[in-house]
Amino acid sequence: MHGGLAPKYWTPMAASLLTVRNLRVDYERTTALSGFNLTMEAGHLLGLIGPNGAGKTTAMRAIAGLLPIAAGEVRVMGELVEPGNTATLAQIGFAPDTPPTYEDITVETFLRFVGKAYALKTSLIEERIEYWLERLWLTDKRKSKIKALSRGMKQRLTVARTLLPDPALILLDEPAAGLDPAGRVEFRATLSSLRDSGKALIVSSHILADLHEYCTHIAIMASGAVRQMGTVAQVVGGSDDNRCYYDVRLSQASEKAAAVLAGVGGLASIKIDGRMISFEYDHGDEAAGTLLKALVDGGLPVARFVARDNGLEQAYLRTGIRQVD
Amino acid sequence: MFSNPIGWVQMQILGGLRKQAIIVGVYSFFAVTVLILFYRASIDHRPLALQQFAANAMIPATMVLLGILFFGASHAIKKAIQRDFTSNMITSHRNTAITGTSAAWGYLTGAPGQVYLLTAANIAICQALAILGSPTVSLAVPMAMMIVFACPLLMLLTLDILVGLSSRGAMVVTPFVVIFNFLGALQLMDICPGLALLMTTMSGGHVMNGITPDFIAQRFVAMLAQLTLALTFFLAAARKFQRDDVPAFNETLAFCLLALATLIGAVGIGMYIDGPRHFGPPVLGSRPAQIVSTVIPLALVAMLPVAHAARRKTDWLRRRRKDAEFAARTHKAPRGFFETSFAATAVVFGILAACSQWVIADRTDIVWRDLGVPAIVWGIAAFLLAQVTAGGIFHTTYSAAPKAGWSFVLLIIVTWVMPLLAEFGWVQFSGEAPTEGWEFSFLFGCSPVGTWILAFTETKGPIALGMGVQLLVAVCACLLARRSKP
Repeated sequence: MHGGLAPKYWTPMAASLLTVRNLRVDYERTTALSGFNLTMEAGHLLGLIGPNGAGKTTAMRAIAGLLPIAAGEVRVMGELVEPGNTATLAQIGFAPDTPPTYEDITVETFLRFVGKAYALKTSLIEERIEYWLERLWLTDKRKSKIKALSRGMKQRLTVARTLLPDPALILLDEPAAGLDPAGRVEFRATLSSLRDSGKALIVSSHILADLHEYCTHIAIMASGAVRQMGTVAQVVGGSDDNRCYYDVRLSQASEKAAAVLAGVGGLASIKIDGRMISFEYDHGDEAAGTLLKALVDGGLPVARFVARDNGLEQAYLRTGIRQVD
Repeated sequence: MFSNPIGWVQMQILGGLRKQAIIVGVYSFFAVTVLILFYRASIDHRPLALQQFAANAMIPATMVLLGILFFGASHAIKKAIQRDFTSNMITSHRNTAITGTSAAWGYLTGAPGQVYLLTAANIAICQALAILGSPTVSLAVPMAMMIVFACPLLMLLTLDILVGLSSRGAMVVTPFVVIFNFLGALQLMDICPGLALLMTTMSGGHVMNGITPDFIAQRFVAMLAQLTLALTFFLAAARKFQRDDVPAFNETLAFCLLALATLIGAVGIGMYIDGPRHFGPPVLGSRPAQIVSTVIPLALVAMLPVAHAARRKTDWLRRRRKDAEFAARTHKAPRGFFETSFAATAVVFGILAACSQWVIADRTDIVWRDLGVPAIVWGIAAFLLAQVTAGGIFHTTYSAAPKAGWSFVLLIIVTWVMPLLAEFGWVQFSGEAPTEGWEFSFLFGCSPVGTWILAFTETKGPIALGMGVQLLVAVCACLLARRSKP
């Protein structure tokens, strides 16, 4: 993968499954996405994160060939993605955030239609319907009308619809938004297995902990451009100043908390809310030990002291992106 | 319907084949019961043979059949397309292996599936009535009628799919065309013989006039034209399905439509037989007036390839500006609106000339010869300038916005209609009543329509000055296009 504005870590490789070159999408006079470059191979799972309006959905829709592009190009397995190039478009499975379905037919009929739309053989369609219904916990709903399904079930059905034709490139826009906790666990396992089976996936989500678990790569987007892109380890560990957040809980609120914290050098982003205190400080066991000693020596009744692990959330916050631009 | 994915799923949405079979069964039972009740009620008043009743019932039964078929099928297509857009399933379709032609075929065959099945039941009922009513000749009548009506039906339904996909399911055209026809407006259509020829199948009046060789020839030509137009609309709909921003008519398809429309117009002029008119002044039925009324819609259709050329060129310029790599690898610009205007004019007048010389020479020759060379030259010049002006405006509009529909309407109002209104307003204001030998002022000729009326009919007025104004407007439109930055 090759980051658009900040290609920090990625080295493009040969024989790519997906190649996006300098992609730009305009909505009339507004540029929704620009300078988007990406190269993906089989087995890559890219997580797109960013605030609302960052351009994540636009990027996915443009890659899926559903939006006109103002500049650049998208190639899947070397073939240009464009209207009319049905063979290439059929290699892309795209699940939008709002599940598109026919409400008045049953789950089974809907999936059968999808199979027919991809010109699959009847026996294969039935086999795959069986597999995906079971995999996505929808077997007992196969005869139910789609309008009777909950949002989470519809979300799972959309995922089943996307995966049924076995596309090479899978684009999932907020796929876990309507899923219950158990569904999310199962879904994470499904994505990991798809990744391991050699698919290339792009997943947009605000649930960063999930992304951390199954993604191989992360792209942080804002204002229609990629701010940071690389492997999960690269993005997570990409802090230059080696700092992290600490959460402290006092056994009782202390009036001198602010004064004690002010006396400890190197603290930043201090927040005091009654017994709860959080701030940014140097990362590492030695730094944590020094810090804890300073707090206890200062007379603060420390009941709990936690150094937050550097995760995607930290990486995201470090970019300085806070809200919709 | 059964192998096509969209056709298949539309049938499933309607409840599947079993449900449809039940509906058709109930409908047939209901229809037959109504007929029996009518028959019982009829013989209560006066003795009526079953044969006579059946013969009388044929016509209303046929009207019901055609009504359900045309209105029902059109509505079903509109509803299916609208559903796909509102549910966003259209996005899902576009992301599958469904091709544009397959999708258009699915909408054509699957969406009105219920209507087709009801029509089959209606045909059976009509067939039964025909056999009861007139056992000697009528066996083939309902079937033959269906074959004849299948052509305009195909043309209208494919146009519905095209319009539906372009308007996100908001519009269809069949109901308007059918109502226009069945309200007896064919007299109005006779002003434009090509349109009358195209719609002649649907005219009850023509059927009543009896079957003559001319009648059969008209039917044949009309059916051929309808089928060819259906194919054109079908291909355009298939293109439009691919993505909202893809123009339905590419250059080839737009020129095909223009050539076809011109051919229909030219053949219409040749085949039209003058007869007594019941609508409007008699002059409207004259050959020169028919030429004017043929050239006007052709000029509008010619704007399709011109608009496409303008859009393609602005897209190309925009892409070059925004995409350095694209600019580096593409050097040859696509043909712009200016050259396309000449090509469109050549196609229209080339086909008109060819038809008058070879295809229908015996009928149209006199008309064109009577017009004279200067009149024809003025007519062609006005046509060309109208295209260039429209092209310039389209180029300017497409430079700033993705759609140019509003600029087309504005263009027609300002450059075609306003000069005529100004002229008529001036006549009213000056209080001079038109008398024999009356001449319009130069304002009348400033509109292309005015120029064609002056050139092709016996209406008098200065052409050259109006043409000068049209030339000036065209030059301004070109300059505007040149200055615009996509």
